[in-house]
Amino acid sequence: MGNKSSLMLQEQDIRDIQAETGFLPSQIERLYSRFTSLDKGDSGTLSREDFLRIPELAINPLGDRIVHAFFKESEDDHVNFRQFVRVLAHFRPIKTSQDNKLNAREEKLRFAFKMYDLDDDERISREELLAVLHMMVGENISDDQLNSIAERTILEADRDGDQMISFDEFCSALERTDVEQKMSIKFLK
Amino acid sequence: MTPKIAHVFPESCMLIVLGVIIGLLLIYTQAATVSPLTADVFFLYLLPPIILDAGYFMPNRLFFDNLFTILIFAVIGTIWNALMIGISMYAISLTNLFGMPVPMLHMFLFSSLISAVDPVAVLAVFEEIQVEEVLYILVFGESLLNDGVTVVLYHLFEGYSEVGEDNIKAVDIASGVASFLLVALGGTAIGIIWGFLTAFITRLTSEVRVIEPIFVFVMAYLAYLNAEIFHLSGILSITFCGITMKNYTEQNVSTKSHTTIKYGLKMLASSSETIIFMFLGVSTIQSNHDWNTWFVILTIFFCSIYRILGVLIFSAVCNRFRVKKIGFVDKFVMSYGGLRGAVAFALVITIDPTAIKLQPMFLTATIAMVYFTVFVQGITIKPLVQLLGVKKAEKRTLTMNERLHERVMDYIIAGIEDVAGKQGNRRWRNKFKRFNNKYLTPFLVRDKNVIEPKLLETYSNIKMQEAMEKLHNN
Repeated sequence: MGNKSSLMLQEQDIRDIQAETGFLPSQIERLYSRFTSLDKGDSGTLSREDFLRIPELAINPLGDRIVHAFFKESEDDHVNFRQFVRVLAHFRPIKTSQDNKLNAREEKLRFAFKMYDLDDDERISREELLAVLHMMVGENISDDQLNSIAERTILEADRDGDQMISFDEFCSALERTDVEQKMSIKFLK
Repeated sequence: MTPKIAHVFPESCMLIVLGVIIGLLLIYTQAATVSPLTADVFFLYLLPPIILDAGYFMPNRLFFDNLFTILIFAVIGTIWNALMIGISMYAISLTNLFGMPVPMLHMFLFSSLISAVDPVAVLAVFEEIQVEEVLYILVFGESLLNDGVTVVLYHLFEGYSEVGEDNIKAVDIASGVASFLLVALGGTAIGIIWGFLTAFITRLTSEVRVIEPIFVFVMAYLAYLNAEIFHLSGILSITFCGITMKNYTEQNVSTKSHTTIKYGLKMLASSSETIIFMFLGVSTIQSNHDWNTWFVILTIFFCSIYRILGVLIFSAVCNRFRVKKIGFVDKFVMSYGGLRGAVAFALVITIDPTAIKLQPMFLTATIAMVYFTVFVQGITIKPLVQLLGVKKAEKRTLTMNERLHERVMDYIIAGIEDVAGKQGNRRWRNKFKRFNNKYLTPFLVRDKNVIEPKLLETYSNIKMQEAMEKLHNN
């Protein structure tokens, strides 16, 4: 599978991906060329190292988690183009005319939720919250302060009193947020 | 009775009416000769507080997220307005409808001062109707940033008028374009420099808390004067001075000083606004007028038409690049919110009547245009906004959840943009944030540097509110 020609994007693939993700063919082609430029080993798939070679992503406090989200769907440690585009499709702007499940508000929220929920138990615990806070604020804030911020966050969102934030509670805590806009990117055509 | 009046008329209308009444009283009793609003009084004393207030309390995030659209409207939109109004009016004047020939350059001088949307009038009306934040920042940001264009166009055509139509060479036009860049970017740069300077000084004032508010006011005013000295855009300068200093001064000054700055600025700005609108009313009575019916009607007509056309064209352009599109209702409010006000008036009275004979006619037309936009558009915009169902702004303090998760979303989007290989607006913001945290904040802020200060700020705000409520309940 090492030769270039087998990696070319077929018409049929584009149509399938378009149906699945809602991207336009021109956007898919652009993303494909990005995909191949990230794919240093020409293997047709991306490894974690390929992702972490992106300089900006490496210093993004949530970089690891974001990369992790790409590997959720694949069993082994490689992401193929199909999976790559599926993840990116979550960030398409919502248009009322075209309905697509991947970029619905709920999916966008779920993506954010998964940034916290590492163990996939559909709940954000205090420890998971603290871990994300630690990544974001660095070393300069005392643990006491971070603890009280985490406790405050849970107190606000938690309605069933289990000291954790479930996905439903997460959604209702963000009811007033314009998630549609905050979690969307204008993909170039 | 009173509450009903306040419901129908915006405050600015009532102030103008009051000004007219005072003007009439003064003229008939011959009690005193009032000096009407002069350009110097306006530009040096009345305008800066309003603009500083606007810049200091600017929602930075919202402003920079929409910067591209705002710039398109402020720069290209204003040039479009000025040129189209000028050309159309000049074409009409060739038919001799106005009863006299109007030199082309004089017409452009007039169209350049009438074409800019006025920040004072827009603020006065939009503060009351409280539309949704994106729509607000688009209209308001445009009115602030188009000052650079207005000042340049005005001085440009003033200069061209002196030189005379026949003596203008291609070089003059090129230098006009260059001077636009210089005026706008120079004003912005001066503002940013003074902003950082203010931030740095407030770092050193922990022993003398009483002078903290003064520094914010005086330094910002110096930024304004500093820009005006070089004929750069003072409005842009003081706006960016406010935007730049805010984040750092808020961390440096004490809570009490911060409250003083906030209410001091609000008070200064609203008194200035009151005085400007009253002076406008008084000056209407005092100044020499030259009423030319067709000229006035056509000015109002072309200003409205080209505003609508401009909004339609440029929002179509911007929508190609925006995640959140400018919808039909937004376009309507944007074209309807293009109010003209005291800046146009102050510019028209600075025209020298001996050099430009038609100045009285321009003055009358400008006043008519200001009255039209402030009264007709100002009064009808509120019911129209209700009728069209424009989303209203919701006043809210962020909860801890919202602050935290929205920050996480920012990082996600920045990361995804890096993966998708696209240069986005947000990516630039993250770049600036890193630069800021590493180099600027340690230098400009007294306390130890914190990477996500907003998280802590939200937390302490919430705690503070709860403590206050507890105190009240006891």
